[in-house]
Amino acid sequence: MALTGRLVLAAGVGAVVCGLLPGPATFLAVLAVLLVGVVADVVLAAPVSALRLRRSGDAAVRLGGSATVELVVANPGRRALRALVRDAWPPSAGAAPSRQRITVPPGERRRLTTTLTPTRRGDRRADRVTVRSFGPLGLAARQGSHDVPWTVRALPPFTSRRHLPSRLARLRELDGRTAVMVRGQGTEFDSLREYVIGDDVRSIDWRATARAADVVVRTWRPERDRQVLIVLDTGRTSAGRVGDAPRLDTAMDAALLLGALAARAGDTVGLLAYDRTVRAQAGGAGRGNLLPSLVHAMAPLEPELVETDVRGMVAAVLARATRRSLVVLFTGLDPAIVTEGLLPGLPALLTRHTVIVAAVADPRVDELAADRSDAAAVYAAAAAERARAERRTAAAQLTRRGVTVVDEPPERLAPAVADAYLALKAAGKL
Amino acid sequence: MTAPTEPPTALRRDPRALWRAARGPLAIAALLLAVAVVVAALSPRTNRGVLDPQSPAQQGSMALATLLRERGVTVEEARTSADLHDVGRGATVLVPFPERLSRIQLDALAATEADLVLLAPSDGQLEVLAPGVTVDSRTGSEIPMPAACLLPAAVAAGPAVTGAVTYRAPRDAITCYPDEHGAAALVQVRAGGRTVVVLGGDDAFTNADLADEGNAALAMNLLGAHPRLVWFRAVPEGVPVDEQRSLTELLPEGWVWATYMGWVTALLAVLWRARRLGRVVVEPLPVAVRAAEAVEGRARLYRRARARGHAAEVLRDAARNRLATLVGTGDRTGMVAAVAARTGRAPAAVDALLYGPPPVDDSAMIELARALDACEAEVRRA
Repeated sequence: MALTGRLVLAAGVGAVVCGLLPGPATFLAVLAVLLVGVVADVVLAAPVSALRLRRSGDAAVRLGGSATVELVVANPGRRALRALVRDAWPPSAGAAPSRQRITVPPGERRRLTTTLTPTRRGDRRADRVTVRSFGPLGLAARQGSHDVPWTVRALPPFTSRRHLPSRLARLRELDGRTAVMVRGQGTEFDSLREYVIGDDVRSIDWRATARAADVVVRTWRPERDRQVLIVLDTGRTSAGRVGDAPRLDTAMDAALLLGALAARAGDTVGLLAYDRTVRAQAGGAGRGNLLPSLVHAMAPLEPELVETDVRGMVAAVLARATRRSLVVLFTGLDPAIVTEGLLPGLPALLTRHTVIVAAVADPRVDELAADRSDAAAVYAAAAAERARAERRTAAAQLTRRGVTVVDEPPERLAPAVADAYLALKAAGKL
Repeated sequence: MTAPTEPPTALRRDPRALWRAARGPLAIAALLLAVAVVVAALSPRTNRGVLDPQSPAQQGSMALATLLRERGVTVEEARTSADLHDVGRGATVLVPFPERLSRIQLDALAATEADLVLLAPSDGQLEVLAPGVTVDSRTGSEIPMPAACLLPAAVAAGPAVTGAVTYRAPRDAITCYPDEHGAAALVQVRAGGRTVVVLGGDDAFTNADLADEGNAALAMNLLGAHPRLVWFRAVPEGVPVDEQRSLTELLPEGWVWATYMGWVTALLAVLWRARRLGRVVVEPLPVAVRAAEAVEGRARLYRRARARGHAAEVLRDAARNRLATLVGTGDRTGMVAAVAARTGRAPAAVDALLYGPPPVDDSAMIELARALDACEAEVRRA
């Protein structure tokens, strides 16, 4: 049950009446009128628990976009429903309008539309629907809640999509080019064509030349249908905010660009998110469904405040990647992670796979390292230089073992990872 | 109309859940009430205030009242002017706070024929009760003073703490405890056929100070002159009780009922606004830490430890690494020579800059950092 502003207004009018016609009789009469009004309203209001509510609408929206969710309110009772409805969502769902007035005649149904503009990635679950059903006088209302579950998934925004066209152009160049004249690992036979001056004489196919009137060379091209496994570290280091977004979100963005690119290049893309256990898996689907499945797998991921079990991650990668793969590891370049976790596990990984380690560098550290304004700034510069030196050492240790290290600030990470992938592909090292 | 096919979604309130949610606050409220009742029941009723003959507190006067009773003086309390009707000759009236008396109470006091003892009165009260006596200053001595007069009560008591206010008196009055300007802290005058004693303070009468110097003797002598002592601790009173009218009787009757209805309106407004439309929805917030936090924390540690040498070495090491890639050699002599050649600086100066001793203070460290930057920039330009 709930009271209304109209009841307060009526009581105020009652106070004036009491002033004009003083006496306990008037006072009691006004009270009685108000009480009868309230009781009548509560009794005559349409019952809330008898309503039937159903939801429909969008289940996913890219972050930054808007989704609409509809709520159908059916009134099976005999009294008309005049109500204020609150469809409650968490604040980051950006639901508008938060409350709506509705009138549903007996036996009919009405549709309420709520627009969601999520401000954060992840699943947004609807809370209760609360209905305040007013009586005919509008002095009091019945109130009750319904639980009508619905989830809208806010997908990662994929802002690095703008880098995709240029990288696809490079990929096409790569594919059409027959520069890989020497047969090597990761290349496959493409075709025979006539020799032109400048071709490597070692690629002349003598058997074909003997059959034809002209000198014929064999051409090779980067092998297709390779495996790419993207591994997201969702542990402690991924929670660190660099610029506006946590490292995890930046890594997701880069992973999406890489996934889109690799899928176009004809490779099979898989995703694994891991901290102390597997948080998400995706991939193996047909090429057309790859990006949606990646995005949906990433959407609910949140950084966990635990130290990543890197050995467990390596084991999970080995279990997942049965064929020779390109493993792209999005993690931190902390000395602890690299020396204690990554280095011991690397040999097992490197014997079978090619590894890229991608990390989000913090521009703030560079800013600190360049500041000379006062003593505190110089101490900060020393601390920043130390951190950079540690990062460099860790990166050098990885590079020495044959890992490609990409350590870039957030806005350059996604294109840099894509370029590293293209370079490996061009070199036939996949 | 077809029956709705949706499953029911309404949430029913479980009475047990309601009870579970409400019992905590109810228990706290009950506990508070119980504690309040116990405290009210146990708190001593005697602790009532300053110069109260029944108060054993520091500022009370229970000790003095007890002493007087042991001397055979009847001590009674008066609260209103009506209580003074039967007080006449042969009694002493002590007025602890003359300034709190209303006009009616002052008139009632003046009408009695009993002797008066006034503690620190102002001119307004003196005009009625002791004409001719005026306030001289309010900055009198707080230390014991000699009596220096012929009043037997004061002479017998000797030095006493008389209080902060001093008075000017007419010629025929007896003045005691004079200050250097000739004003007195104790004045005894005859007015209206009875004796009025004006005393500049209440220090001599409190439990805390009664035992000091001649305080007790002075108080006993002043108050024990008659077998009956009336302690007039006046409560505020205006018009006589039978003529009093409450605020509601003075207002037109309509106002009263309108006000009652106004309270009801306010209560309804509170209930209207207090009812939420559904529960509060909690936002599951993600973890967010600034990634540079660790670096900044380490900088604060360096600073607190004043690790200048360490900080300078780290900065030099970083500069040497960058210079090594620029000039193409990493060993000390080679690099110093190459940097000196490119920048035109003296090799010794370059060596001191890149491999020198740690800076002695913070400003030297800042200088060193800037010098390293400048040197690197010169090498890059060259």
